[in-house]
Amino acid sequence: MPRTIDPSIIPLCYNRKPASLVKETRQIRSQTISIHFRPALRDVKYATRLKRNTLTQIFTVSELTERIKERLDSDLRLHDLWARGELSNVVNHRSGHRYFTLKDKDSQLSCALFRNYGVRLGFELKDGQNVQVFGDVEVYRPRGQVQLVVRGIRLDSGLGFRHQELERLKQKLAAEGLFDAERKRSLPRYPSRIGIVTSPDGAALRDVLSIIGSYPARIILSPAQVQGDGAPESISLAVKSLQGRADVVIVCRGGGSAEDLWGFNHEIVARAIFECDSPVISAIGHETDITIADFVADVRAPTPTAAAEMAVPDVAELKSHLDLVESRMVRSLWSSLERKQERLEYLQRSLSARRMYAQLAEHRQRLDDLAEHLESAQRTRLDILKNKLALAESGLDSVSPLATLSRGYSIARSPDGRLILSAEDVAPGNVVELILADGKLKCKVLEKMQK
Amino acid sequence: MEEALEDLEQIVARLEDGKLSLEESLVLFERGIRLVRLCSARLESAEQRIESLTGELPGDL
Repeated sequence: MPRTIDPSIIPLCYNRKPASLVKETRQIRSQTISIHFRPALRDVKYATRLKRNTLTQIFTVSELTERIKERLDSDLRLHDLWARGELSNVVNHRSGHRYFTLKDKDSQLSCALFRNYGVRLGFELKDGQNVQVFGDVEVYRPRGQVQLVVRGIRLDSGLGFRHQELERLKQKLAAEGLFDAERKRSLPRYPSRIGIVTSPDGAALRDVLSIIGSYPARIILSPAQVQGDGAPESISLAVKSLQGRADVVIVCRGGGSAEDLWGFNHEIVARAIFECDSPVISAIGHETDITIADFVADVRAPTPTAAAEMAVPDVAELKSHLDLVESRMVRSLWSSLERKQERLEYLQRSLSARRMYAQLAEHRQRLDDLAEHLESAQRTRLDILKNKLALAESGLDSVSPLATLSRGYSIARSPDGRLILSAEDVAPGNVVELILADGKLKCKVLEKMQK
Repeated sequence: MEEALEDLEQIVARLEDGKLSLEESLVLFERGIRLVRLCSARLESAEQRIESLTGELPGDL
């Protein structure tokens, strides 16, 4: 069947771009007219004829959408078609219908998967999945929206192009060391200036402020556009603006689709966080959403509320800590005073008169003891000497001539006391004295006999 | 706050160590108590001061 141009659509184009259409028409005329183009040319002529009518005809919105709908419905290529792209903004509606956006690098299209087709799906639809969908392009008139009504989905190979890009960026930044655990800074325990990068209108900011509550810190809000085009630039600028102004920075936004959070996956956001001069806590979306900003941040919090809890100490805890510190100081001062007092008392006791007397008596007794020792030592020594003397005496006895006399010998002496050692010493008639063991004999020599 | 609390911790540690002279420990004790009072006062009178780098704050903050 030859291609036709629905005459109803032409005036619309013609009104918008008359010059180009004229040009096209001329081109078409100059070509060899083929069987395919002939009806088209006829339609164009018909369209130019309609021009006058169009200018006078004013559509209602319904008429216009109806016309668009008819046009789409009549294009067979927009029915029973397969299309491929990446899923995002997947919404599982309570009704059982599912809505999502199918996108590629440059374009996106809303899609609806109604319940009766969705039940046979066999897998969970997730943002970032690469899929092929089967269905029809339709106009949803209440919103004037062109959408793909999907009747079947199958997974296409691999991740979506955006996710592939994300993986590439992740690897690049990881290789540069932006995610290194060693460079993660620890958070200050008692920050006095807290920088917050978020949307000033978001719930995240209110969550954070309500937790920081009565902790006495200056809060510096650095407003950022946290989703949509320009979000990455806005977020990174907001982070950079806090340079030198904060002790800790919270980068946060509330939950949203992967699409909404995408700004936090941008390289310039990662670099701004990396270069931030104070530790950064990230809290982007819900716990399950992890963006590149979360990888670079020094600490990742599951939610903005949790981020605020990490940033400041609990005020009640801090108060009780202060009470404890005070009582510890009082106690240690008291115990130190007590120790000093005890020492003083001890010293005082040592100095008392009674103690002095007692000490004196002790000394005296010691002196007596010593004197006694001295005496007894002296006595012992004398006894020893006496014994020695007796021993010496008995030794002397054994060599004395008196002992010999007792064995029957006698000593002869002249009356003048000289010992008579030879018979020559006396003559008969001389008187000699004989000394015996028990007495003396006075004797007269009667005769001398030579040997 | 941070400095005050760090000072306090050191003061308590030195006091509890007990190697100080009476004069030194009294001086430290007095400083410590002053710091406790200061921190407590800051916590009691804590008003959040919110500033915005763009100067624009939502009305309900």
